[in-house]
Amino acid sequence: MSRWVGRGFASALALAAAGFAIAQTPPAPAPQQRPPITSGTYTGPKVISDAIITEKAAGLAAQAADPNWVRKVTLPVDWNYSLAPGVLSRQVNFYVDGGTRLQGRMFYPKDFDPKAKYPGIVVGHGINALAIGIEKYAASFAARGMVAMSIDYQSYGFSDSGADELMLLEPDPSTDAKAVTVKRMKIRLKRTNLNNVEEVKAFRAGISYLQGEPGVDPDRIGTWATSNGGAVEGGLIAMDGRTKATVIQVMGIAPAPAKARDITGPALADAIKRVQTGQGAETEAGFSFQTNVDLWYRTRSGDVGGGPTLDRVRNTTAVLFLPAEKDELIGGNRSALAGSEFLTKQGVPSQVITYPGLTHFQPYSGVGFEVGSTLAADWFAKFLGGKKSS
Amino acid sequence: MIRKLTLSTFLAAAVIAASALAAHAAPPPAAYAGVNTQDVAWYSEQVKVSGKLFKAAGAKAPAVVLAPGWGETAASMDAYALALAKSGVTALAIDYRGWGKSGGFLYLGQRVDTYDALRFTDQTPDMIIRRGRLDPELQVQDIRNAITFLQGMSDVDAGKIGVLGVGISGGHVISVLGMDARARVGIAVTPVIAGANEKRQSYIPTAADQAALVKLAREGSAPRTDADGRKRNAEEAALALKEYKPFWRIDAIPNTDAVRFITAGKDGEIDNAANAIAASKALKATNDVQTLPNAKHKLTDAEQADAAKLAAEWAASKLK
Repeated sequence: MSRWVGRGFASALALAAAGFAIAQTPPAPAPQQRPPITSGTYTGPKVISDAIITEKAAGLAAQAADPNWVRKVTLPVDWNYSLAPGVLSRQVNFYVDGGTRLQGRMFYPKDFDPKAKYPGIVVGHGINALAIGIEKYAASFAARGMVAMSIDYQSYGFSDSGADELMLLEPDPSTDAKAVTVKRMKIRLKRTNLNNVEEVKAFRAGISYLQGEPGVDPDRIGTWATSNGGAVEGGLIAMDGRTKATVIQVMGIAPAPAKARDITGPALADAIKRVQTGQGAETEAGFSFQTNVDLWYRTRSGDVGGGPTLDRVRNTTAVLFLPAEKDELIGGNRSALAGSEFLTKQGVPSQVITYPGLTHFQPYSGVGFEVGSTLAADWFAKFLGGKKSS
Repeated sequence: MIRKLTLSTFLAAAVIAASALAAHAAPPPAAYAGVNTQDVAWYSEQVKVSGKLFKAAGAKAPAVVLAPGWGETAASMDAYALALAKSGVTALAIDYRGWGKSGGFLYLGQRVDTYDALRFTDQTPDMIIRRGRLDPELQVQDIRNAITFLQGMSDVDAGKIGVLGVGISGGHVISVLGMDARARVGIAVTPVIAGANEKRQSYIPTAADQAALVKLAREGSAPRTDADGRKRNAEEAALALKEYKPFWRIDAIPNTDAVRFITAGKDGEIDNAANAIAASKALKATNDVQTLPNAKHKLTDAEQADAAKLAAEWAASKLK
């Protein structure tokens, strides 16, 4: 069963990368629908140097070939990190969608001076994952002189569930006479509600939080995310121009026509069950964190277009794609190449740097991490600059 | 003298709407003579929501979701519902989440233990219920969930669904048709369809709005008093409206859809040229614009009856 679900997830990610709606119709597509891996060569502008790919070629090749580095998920060992000397970290609360508490972890550079102005980076995780798997990126950006904030999306990890995940098990006592009712009540609380619409909101709340953080320059905010988080960023950068530099790892955002999406067949039957009972079918979606999600995510997450709204990205939002050459889930780097070419043509600074030989889950550790975190920080440094005295 | 709907008038309206929390008296039962009505409930996301169903005769009737205007409830849609039902089209007038007979938005009032591997847990914590929130994208989702509810009814033809909205909800009609191919027919009454004369690009807030966003993100836990709730409703509605551009969804509407715009000839709140008329010109789908020559933005009962007649005529012919 879980193997089938995994294939369904892979196809959903592939469709997201291709700029189309997330697959809407369960059950999971047949294995042959997984896209072929057809990576191409990037021919666009070299905005930042990719020399590290050549310098680390031997290490990347070894990681690609070594059986110990084969990854079909990320493993806890891949999440480990240690703080660079002088980097400090703390947990913070921030709020989304009318008052739902989310949690982030802040990372501050060595000798951080809250009276100065540093660039700030929001760091988001992948599909059905947790911030603990990608905090290492935030820590590495802090080591490069930035303030970084890794976040758990709503209903994940240390973040609370919100209105979309809290169901009353008794009659709602509120009326239009009062805007707020506070009462002890019986509820059913849902976790891991995979929903790209909510994830965009979480990113935006994270940006707002960082803009108000003493020592962060509100006009120099960047975002980093990976895998499905990259698809979320595709929607984010079309919606929110406060992001001045974005890094999208192991995901591409190919341009696509805007088109109303239909909901039919089993997806519609599931949607009907949801509105009639409050809860539809579940499926497994996690590679790294094996928890169930609502099947509905395949429909709802498609509302974060990405591809169809790529023309709304401002030329003040610089977009770096870091796809993996042998990415088995999104079919290589084609969607990243297509997205970057489109953005470049409309004057948005963009570049693709491909991890040679690596698969979807390999860049999180080893030489892949060293290369990817360095290139991401280079991109942020190029477009956001460093510490400025106030 | 037609003037453009400025943001400030809009915001003022939002504030008034949010603080008024409109209360509507139920119309007398006689108004429903000849039409079979039924109070119904379903879920929009996790919230139990409510609507009034006006049933057309027939085993498999086409159906239309009636989306109330800004700060209005299902009770404001009776004229449209009756006209539609009498024309053979089932109508479902909805209350958005946090309005009318629908449940409110839930927030945890205290920290609770959670564990992601336990997807569902039943708990009894302090809860905060918010009402009177006005968020256009959440309302659009309410409309789409109402479509799903209609499609699940045995006496509704799931392939013949339409949406009717008034004012800002007229903009929701464009949003829903552009997002969701299940809705095939739209009727937008005195619609506000923001975005016609603006460059399609990502949103950058003004300094004041950015400060408001920062404050909400850093200090915006769910309000615990009525006064704070009303203030928050107004603040959040003002911010959400600035980003809501239904006009930008027009290109995504299938050519096979059919949309009727009904405008007020003496609309003093909005410039029809930048809303319904601009949308009509941009739309590739079949559409027309009908004008109530002497009407102002807020229709009188008689004008609403005329608009309802035009709406029913369109829905009945296009959903045949």
